[in-house]
Amino acid sequence: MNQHDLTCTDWTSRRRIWQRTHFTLGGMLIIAFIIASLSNPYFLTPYNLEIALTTFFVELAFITIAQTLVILVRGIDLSAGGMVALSAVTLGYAHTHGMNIWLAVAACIAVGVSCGLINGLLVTVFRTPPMIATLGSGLLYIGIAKGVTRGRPYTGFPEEFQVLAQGHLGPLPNQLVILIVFAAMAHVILSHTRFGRYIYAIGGNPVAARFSGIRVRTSVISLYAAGGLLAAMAGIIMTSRMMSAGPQLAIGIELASITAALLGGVSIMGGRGTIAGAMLGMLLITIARSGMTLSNIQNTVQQMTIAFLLLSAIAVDMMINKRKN
Amino acid sequence: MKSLKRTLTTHENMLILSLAVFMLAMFAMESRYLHRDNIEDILFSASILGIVAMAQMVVILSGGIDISVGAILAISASVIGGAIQAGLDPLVGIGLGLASGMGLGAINGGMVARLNIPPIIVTLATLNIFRGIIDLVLEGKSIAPPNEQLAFMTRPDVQIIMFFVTAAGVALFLSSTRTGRLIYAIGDNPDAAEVSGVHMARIRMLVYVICGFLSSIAGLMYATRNANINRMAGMNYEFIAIGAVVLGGTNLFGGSGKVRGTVFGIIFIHAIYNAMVIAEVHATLKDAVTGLLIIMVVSLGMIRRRTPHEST
Repeated sequence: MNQHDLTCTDWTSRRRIWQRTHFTLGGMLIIAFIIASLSNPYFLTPYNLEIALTTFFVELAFITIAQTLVILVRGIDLSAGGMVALSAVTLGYAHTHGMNIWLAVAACIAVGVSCGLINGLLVTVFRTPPMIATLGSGLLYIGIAKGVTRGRPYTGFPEEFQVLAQGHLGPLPNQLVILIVFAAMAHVILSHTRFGRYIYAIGGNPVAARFSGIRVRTSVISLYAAGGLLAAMAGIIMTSRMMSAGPQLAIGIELASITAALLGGVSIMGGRGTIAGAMLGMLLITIARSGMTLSNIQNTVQQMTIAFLLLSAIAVDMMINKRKN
Repeated sequence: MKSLKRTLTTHENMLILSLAVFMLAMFAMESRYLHRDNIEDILFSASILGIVAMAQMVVILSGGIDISVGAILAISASVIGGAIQAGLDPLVGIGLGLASGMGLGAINGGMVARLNIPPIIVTLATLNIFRGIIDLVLEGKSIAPPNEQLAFMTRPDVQIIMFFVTAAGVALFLSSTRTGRLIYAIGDNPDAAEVSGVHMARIRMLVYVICGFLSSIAGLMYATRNANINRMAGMNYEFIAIGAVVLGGTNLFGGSGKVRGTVFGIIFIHAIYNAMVIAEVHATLKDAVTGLLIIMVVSLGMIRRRTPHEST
């Protein structure tokens, strides 16, 4: 991982790489869309598109934003599934123990942010490599969630709680609106604020960033905390959609989110990538999965296909980079 | 270099010491804990994951990582079970299983070494691909284990001996062969290794093949001791294996670590699981305890060691 990270730091080449990845990705998206709509007449119906976006896209998209933020500073978050589980279980626990549902939502967010803070502290103050820190903390979070529920999911949420993931604002499903708000915020922070610039600087070269006076630790901790917040949002929406909260709901979400971010052109070495790209990656996965689901292709084969997509995208990227160097 | 070596030795010795303290403390509370049967139980339950952890360790030493080990284990276990079920000679079945493990390892190695894709991405993708293959082939059914044909291998003591023999073999390979030393060299400083004429791609490739081979040995043991081989085989083993390797003092960035540490790391984890059963702690808390253990050991170790890898 160390020879590679310092090669693409100048702005012009970085911008060119963004444009190229978006171009390739856009092409793949259009092809996937055409194949999906030709192979199945139901794909292009509003009903199917809404199902595809609401049942699969939104929750994973929250985690993908979180993943993008930490990958940008050379981190990775393998605890996302654990954080989603623990925050959803907090929501269920608080509600079944008599707390008002909206207070329970607040508690859930607080737990998610604290989990993210713990990750951030482990990575910065305790200098643990992000992969190991979040691997361990993920096991811890999901373990606590399993311990609290003893394997039985919480149910019996009130009717009004459904509004988050089963209501509409105009033509758009509510959870999509919430997602768009968060994604837009993340995008604005990354591309239009000083803090966003700092994030790319830290990812490009952490040592140089520290010597130029950027508070690297604080920034990294806040990004992991933001990851926790987004995981809690995913947990809340998942709970509202299924009206049940258990530890098993988000298993494997971290791997899917990493795949989406990398497909969207976020560099695993840090310092390169955009929220827009990551969302495009998400969209590609969603179209592919929805199309395959309609054609009765089983879940694991869908995951295989996405893994192939990921490998080919990265391999092409690597080969182009190699030729240029 | 010398001081690094010294701290590493203390890490392993500290691990062994704390394992001893832990076991004695458990013994003081419950005399059954140090009974021969219980010790055998701990070692037996640790043996499969111990071999997976060594497979993981060889890759980590070279500066890589392999999160597809559990899936490789599952495929080779299915190949062995399936081949023997189909009436092939048990030895042929085992040979096919080990070959499939090495083949899958070679796929990982090829993409890491030739195409230069980061190992975490390669094995993340192949993990999904291998799991997909298992689902396609098994179609939700399970394979009967080859218990009758390989009866002697179902015995706990035989499996424990296989674990320790494999550990000794890996230790000998890493410390006493040229290739073994080169694995440490490319993990410690890839640039230096390359300019001193090490054939990087070849060693990297080899590391993943060895990893696949060891995972399929674990697959062989898995095949003989479970009631059936199904799609859940080896699920999440990669996480526990990485945990054991790190617990054993191996540097996650490669270049240093000892087989002894990994062996005691996995034994420690299973000694704790076993104690949890005796103390009647609910089994759902197993993951939480493992996670806490990994976090504590790694962060304490990192503070103590102050490695030059300050990524943030």
